[in-house]
Amino acid sequence: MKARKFTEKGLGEFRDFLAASRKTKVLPTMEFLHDDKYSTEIDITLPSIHAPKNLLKKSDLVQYLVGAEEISGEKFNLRCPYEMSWISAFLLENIIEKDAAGSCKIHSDVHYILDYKNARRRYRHRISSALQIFHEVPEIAHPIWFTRNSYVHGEMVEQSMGRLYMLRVPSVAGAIRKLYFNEKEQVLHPRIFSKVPRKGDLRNRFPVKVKQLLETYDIYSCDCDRLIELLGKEFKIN
Amino acid sequence: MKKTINFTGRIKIDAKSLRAVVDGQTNSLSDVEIAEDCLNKFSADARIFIDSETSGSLSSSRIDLGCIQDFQGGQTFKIEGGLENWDTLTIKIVEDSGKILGRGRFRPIGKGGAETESLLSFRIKDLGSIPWKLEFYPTLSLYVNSRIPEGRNFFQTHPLIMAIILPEVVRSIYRHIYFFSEVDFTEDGTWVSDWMGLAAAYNGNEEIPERSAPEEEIKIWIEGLVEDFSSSHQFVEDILGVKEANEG
Repeated sequence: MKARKFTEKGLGEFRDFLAASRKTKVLPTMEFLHDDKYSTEIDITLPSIHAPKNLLKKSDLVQYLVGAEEISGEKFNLRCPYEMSWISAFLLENIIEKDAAGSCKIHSDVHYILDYKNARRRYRHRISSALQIFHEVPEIAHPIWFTRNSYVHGEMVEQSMGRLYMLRVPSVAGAIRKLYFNEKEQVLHPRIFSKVPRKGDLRNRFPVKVKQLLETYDIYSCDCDRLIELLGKEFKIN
Repeated sequence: MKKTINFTGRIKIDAKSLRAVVDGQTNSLSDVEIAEDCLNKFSADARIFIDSETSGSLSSSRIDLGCIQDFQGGQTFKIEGGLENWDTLTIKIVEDSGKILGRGRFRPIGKGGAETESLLSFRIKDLGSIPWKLEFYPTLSLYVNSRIPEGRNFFQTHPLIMAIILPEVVRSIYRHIYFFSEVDFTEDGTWVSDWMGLAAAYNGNEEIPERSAPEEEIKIWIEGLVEDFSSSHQFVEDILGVKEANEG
């Protein structure tokens, strides 16, 4: 089945659908999803007309989407609100948090409807940010982002994707994995996103030090061990 | 020389010393030139790199131009990932240890890219004794006093006038957007969103402060933007050129 992209009218329907579901906390069938009045086909083939319901982790989510890209020989347009929002609608069950009783928790629209023109909000889109990380961040660092549940936005996305200058340095992603990722448990270390700056934390100190280094050292050509060395003593591999 | 606590001896490379032509269709950078007197400031074995970053993307491209002693102008380089309309290039002169000896930003000359539209309308109005004035309602316009003959053309094309007024125009526009306007940055089709798009292009799209940010932080950000804007348009060089022409 071909993936689709919403028309302006379809995007409006999806927005209304989210607003209604936010109140009722249930996800009814999206009658408009495959309707030609609300969306048109794009050149990417999905495995089935039925969306999978078992994309539990972000890694499952990106594998599903990248698989579709590979079969089709085309990539999703991560800047297109109509395309990204349709994919969100198609995979909505996977990216919505549900409690034990099955009630859905629907966050603000930016998590499902791509607001590309807003640099402060666009990375909150579940699908677009996950795919961007997959395609643009070195593979060595993927576990930092992709071990979380599909429905989680997460501080890691929030703090990293809002600082593109930092992630553009090729060795930064690997250094983050070495410094802050517990390989055994496959989770990030606790307290690294504290609002109050702490020695060697990821939210405050790491970006400041990277920015300082960008001014003085050519850290674009460093490997991650050299970068960690340059960051200074407060950054230790645990 | 005045030295600050963070002084590293790094030399700022002026945009005037740099030139390159970007071809968006073939994703290449050609006719790369660096002024010889600029290169002579650095040791011969330092390496030259040109980094390009694309707004909204995590990707960056790097061109290694080799050592200063081996550099030859006029070469063409292919760039992975392509260059978009507003891309700025950063040149870095780096010594063996990785220390940056010199750095500068410049905008390449574009060809084959999309057409651009002016973000500022120049209009004529009777302003009494005031030579020019910015107005923000109903839309952004720069009014030139109707008493100045050929005023609109004069303000739009004379290098000295542009070099003197445009930095202040840019400063005033962003101060208005942040401190007086209530128009949503992201509302399509407004002059505010167009100018915020321009700001994003100048700083890599990730550091546009919210309106709720501290006033001081916003003012510092605006000054940085005015500096980048002025540097990329080489206003000081334009003023010096006019001065030299008048004196010569």
